[in-house]
Amino acid sequence: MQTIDIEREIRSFLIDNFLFGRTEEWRDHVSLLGNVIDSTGAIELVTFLQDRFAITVEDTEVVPENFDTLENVVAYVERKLPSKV
Amino acid sequence: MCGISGLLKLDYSKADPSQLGTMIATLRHRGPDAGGVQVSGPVGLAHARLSIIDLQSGAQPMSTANSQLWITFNGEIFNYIELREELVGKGYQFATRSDTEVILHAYQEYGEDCVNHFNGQRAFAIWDATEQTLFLSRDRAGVRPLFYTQTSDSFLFASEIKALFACREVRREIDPRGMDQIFTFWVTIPPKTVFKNIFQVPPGHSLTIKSNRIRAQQYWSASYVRNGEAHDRSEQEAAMELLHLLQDATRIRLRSDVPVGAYLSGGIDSTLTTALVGKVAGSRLRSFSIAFEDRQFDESSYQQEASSFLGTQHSTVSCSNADIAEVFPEVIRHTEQPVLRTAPVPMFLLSRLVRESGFKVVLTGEGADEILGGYDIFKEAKIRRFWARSLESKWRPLLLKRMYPYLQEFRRQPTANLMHFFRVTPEDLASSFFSHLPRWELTARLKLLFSPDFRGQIGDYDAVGDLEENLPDDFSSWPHFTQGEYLETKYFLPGYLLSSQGDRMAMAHSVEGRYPFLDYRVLEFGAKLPVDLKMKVLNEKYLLKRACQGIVPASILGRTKQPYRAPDSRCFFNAAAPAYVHELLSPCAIKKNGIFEAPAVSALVNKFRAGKARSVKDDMALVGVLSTQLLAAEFINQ
Repeated sequence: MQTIDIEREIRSFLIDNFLFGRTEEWRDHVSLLGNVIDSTGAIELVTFLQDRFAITVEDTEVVPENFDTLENVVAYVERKLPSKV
Repeated sequence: MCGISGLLKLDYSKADPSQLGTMIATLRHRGPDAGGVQVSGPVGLAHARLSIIDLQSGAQPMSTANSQLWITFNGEIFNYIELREELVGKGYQFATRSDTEVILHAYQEYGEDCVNHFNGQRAFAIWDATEQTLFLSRDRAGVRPLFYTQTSDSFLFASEIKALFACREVRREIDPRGMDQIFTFWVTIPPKTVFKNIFQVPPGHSLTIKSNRIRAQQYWSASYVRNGEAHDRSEQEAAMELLHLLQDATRIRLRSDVPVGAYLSGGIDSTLTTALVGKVAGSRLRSFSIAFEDRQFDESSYQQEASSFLGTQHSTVSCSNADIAEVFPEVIRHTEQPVLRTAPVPMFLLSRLVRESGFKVVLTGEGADEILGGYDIFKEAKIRRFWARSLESKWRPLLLKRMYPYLQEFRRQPTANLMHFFRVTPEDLASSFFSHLPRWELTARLKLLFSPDFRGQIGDYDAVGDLEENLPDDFSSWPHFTQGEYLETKYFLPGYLLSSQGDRMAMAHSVEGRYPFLDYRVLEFGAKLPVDLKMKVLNEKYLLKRACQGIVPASILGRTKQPYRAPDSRCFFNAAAPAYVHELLSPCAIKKNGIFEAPAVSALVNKFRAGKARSVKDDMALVGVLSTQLLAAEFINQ
């Protein structure tokens, strides 16, 4: 899977789940934690990543370095994937 | 408790009795025992009576012997016996034993200042035929409702908005700014309601209508403790004073010519209230509570324990998810505003149980959390401020994990996410609304669901800025904790808890709630109480717990606080869900009302149908949309 595809899928999930599908509300490069993802939303994102990309996300990995921006999440998923297809 | 309505013809033509009859007919659920309509020149008053005091001779509308004053009155004046003696001493003669007549003579004696003499929960209108003045007033805490509007030729008022809408001249329109407030604060800021040109008399306010001019005045507000203000009582003395106040507040709230019961939730507040009722009444008390099929909301074991300890005859109504979905439309017909939680529904079922058990009056523990430091939002603010004093600390933010132990999804969140959500910026620290900003910011995200057109109608309206302009002048000199309590007591309590979850749910089945913690003497005591006696470290309602020792079972005093909640959106998504859910959430119905964006609502609905909606925000969004659609169907699209 290409980086651009991973990014598109995660962005689409974030827009659908946290912005009620309103694409026009999406802002690139903003902090996701606190701005897009609400107080009980991180688990939703983690569940999505685990289900969609067949990876295991440890609680200790849900840190700003991995989850604060879309770019960070994509990079994190790519690191967790066994290999690019 | 009753329903009232009335009108004043602004051109001073004669009021139409049939119009009054139409209005009061919509409020029969508030007063099924008797009814009356009285026209006096340009004024008409109407009344639907729930007979509780002076069953024989308390009919309304009531007048003075010379017909100079006419009154229609909803509620109770609990100190009416003392006031009556006082007025008799001044030479007044009484034809009834009712508190209604006490109001009339108190108005004669004290004029508009009479409201400061009343200890009660009430809304009333008095027509002074000599002065050609209509005087409306609402109780201090906002227990009883009072709405009003104006048409081209009339001023109209009523206990509920549906009575105003019974007049064809009153336009039915959703107010976008009222909606903006609901989808920020959960409530509208008085005098605004969610309907255009429909207003509410704010708690602690009176209105005078004379010569076509409306004058509003605030007659009461609590005096709050200031930073550094000294207090000269020991903890023990303060606890005893609180207990004595609550005992007396309970004593006068048992004045009734019909039997009085009590709600018993299994928490400290209602257990104390019930215990105090038992001590005063002396006989075996009837208590009532809600049980949930869903165990995460159920407190039956604590309710049974409290009932056994206090020796009450206890009755429980069981509430299932299907029950909530089934009666939700009827509930919204009574709330008359959108809600973001289904929590009013079980209260609706509970009042039905009370009524079917032959009771008209119940005492409850409402108000203690607001005035004595009980809410988690106060704890949350305290932790955030503590963390802000040392933002680099690794362990201070871990305290965030101690919040909301009953919210499973919250507890599963990684600390990093909670830290970002509850982060504290210098701007936050300087805000008057520090305690409530996370809640309001989360709720305001629901406005993403509004349609572009509806957003356009809201324009650049800033609900938070609007609220800030309403704050007391000396607000900044109050302790932070007190500021948070003020926001809860002033807005959320009357705007939601006492209305959508209180008066409207109880009165739907002709039941009157009475609230010892909302006695104005208790409110004033709480407002002046040092904050360290409310929440000691993170121990909520510290002083109240101390005052309760020996009265409330130790197991209930020591239990983890669990706020009253009910199952939310899951109730509306299962095979047995009522047809209205699908119909009102369909793109066609959403587009028809124009308030929400159809694709956005569809995305939300699909998320629920797929079983992927788990967040508090999604729950609030779904309930908010569905209740708004029901509101429009009930009041706008007729």
